[in-house]
Amino acid sequence: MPSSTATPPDQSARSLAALATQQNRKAFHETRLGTWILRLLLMAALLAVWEFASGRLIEPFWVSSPSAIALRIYEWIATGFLFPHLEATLTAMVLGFASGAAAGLIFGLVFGSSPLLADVARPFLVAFYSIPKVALIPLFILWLGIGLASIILLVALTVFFPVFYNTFSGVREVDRDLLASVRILGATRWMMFVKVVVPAARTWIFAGLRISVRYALTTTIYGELVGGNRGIGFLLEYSASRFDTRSVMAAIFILGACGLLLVAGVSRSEMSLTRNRDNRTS
Amino acid sequence: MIELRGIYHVFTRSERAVLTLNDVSLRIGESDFVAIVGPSGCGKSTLLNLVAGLLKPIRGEVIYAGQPVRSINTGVGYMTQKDTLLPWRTVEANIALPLEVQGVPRDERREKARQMSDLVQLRGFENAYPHELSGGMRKRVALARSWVYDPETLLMDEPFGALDAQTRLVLQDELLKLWSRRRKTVVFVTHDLGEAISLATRVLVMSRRPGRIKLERAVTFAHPRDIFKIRFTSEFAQLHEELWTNLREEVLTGDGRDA
Repeated sequence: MPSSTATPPDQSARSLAALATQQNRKAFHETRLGTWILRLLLMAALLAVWEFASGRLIEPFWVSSPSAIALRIYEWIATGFLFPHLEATLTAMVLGFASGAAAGLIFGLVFGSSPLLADVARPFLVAFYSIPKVALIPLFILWLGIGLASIILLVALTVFFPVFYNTFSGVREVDRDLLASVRILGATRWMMFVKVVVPAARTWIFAGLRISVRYALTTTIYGELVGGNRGIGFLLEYSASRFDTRSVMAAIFILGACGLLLVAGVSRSEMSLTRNRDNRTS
Repeated sequence: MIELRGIYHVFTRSERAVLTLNDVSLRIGESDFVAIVGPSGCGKSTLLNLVAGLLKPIRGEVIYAGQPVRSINTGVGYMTQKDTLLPWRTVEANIALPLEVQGVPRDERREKARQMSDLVQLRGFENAYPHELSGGMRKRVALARSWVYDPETLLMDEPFGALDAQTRLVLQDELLKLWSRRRKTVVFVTHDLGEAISLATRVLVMSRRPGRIKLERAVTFAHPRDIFKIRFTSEFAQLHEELWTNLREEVLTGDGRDA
């Protein structure tokens, strides 16, 4: 090989780069740890104020107290009382999310690739999108009764639209020049779809999924509050009707934890998915 | 072999129609390296798009390898001004893309992609992503991608336009080396007359819009050429002078009319 203008990174450059990343990582780690310590301190301070105020400044009846709530959560876990409810909520959410996201993805890809179909369907979609999904709960209960099925349908519908719109826009936004350049290589429509359209729309699709995970949890709880006979939402409603603030707070804490885990899970899987896709070369 | 017969092309944008090509006829033989120069907006790129089958003339016919071009012409490779690398693919995967489309088995396409990336001095960068590369390196990838699957004809639309002068020379040199290795038919559009003369075996000068072929000259310098020195020969200067006199009229009046 003749000597080139473009020299590949040689050994010394590589070790320098390694050194740089090491330093970066150390700094990053430090700040991360620092952030976590601050977060824990903040949480401890809030809980301490709450604990102190409860019974001294405010009636425990209204706000309960962190220790009492922790005890309640512990009881629920120890007796196993929590699990059927948690299971009901997670089942409704996961099934609703999966079916709604799958449908949104498929419709988004199809409509995005067919301008005619998109034009014809637009007013219907807009009209349907504008209806608050909550308004459909009575109808779903009429059709499917109180319980899991209605809630799954509600969640699926809520998830469908953001995923659909994002996928649709992602497909429409694909760089025409990229498409032309692959088309001239002799690619079929299907190949262009798989090799250009889907990877190009990927960031949009993930954005849609990320938004709708949160919607899914919210909608599940909403459905359970209104038309559930099990689940964390039902537990909330039931405890509140018995003026059991402590249980209400416990349920809210569990929801917060679920939400955190979900969002973390989605960004984790997004990262690993994009990385896998990128590493899979020719 | 490429033949354009009495091509008229009209470009329409928001109700306004502009005649871009006005009765263009031209023949390009096998293994010719034809450079087309002309003022901006004269329809040079349109000409390439017609040969590629991406556009259709309103009158006239494009014949490619004896067949009229009616839809996408997959016999040609096309390297555009903007490099159309897929940002989510590595250098190697980008170069292998044409082979992938043609259903070449995995090992073979890896092998060919490697060879090609060596040829255009990309060794060591096979696993980099386009956004990690400089403009010149991206052009190398695009060049490798357009040659890797051996299309009979290569259309190049100001491929080195956006590069700095040195990188440009180096890439022109790479292109000439590739061309001496595998003599393809190349149609090379540029606004740089020097580039056209140093590379091509034939230079066509186009008029301002509506474009037609104004002048045609053979470039008889022997191959392989030394791209870095050829510019300083007196033959080069003479040809440049003659072509520039013709081109200048078009550029100057073209500007005046558009302003």
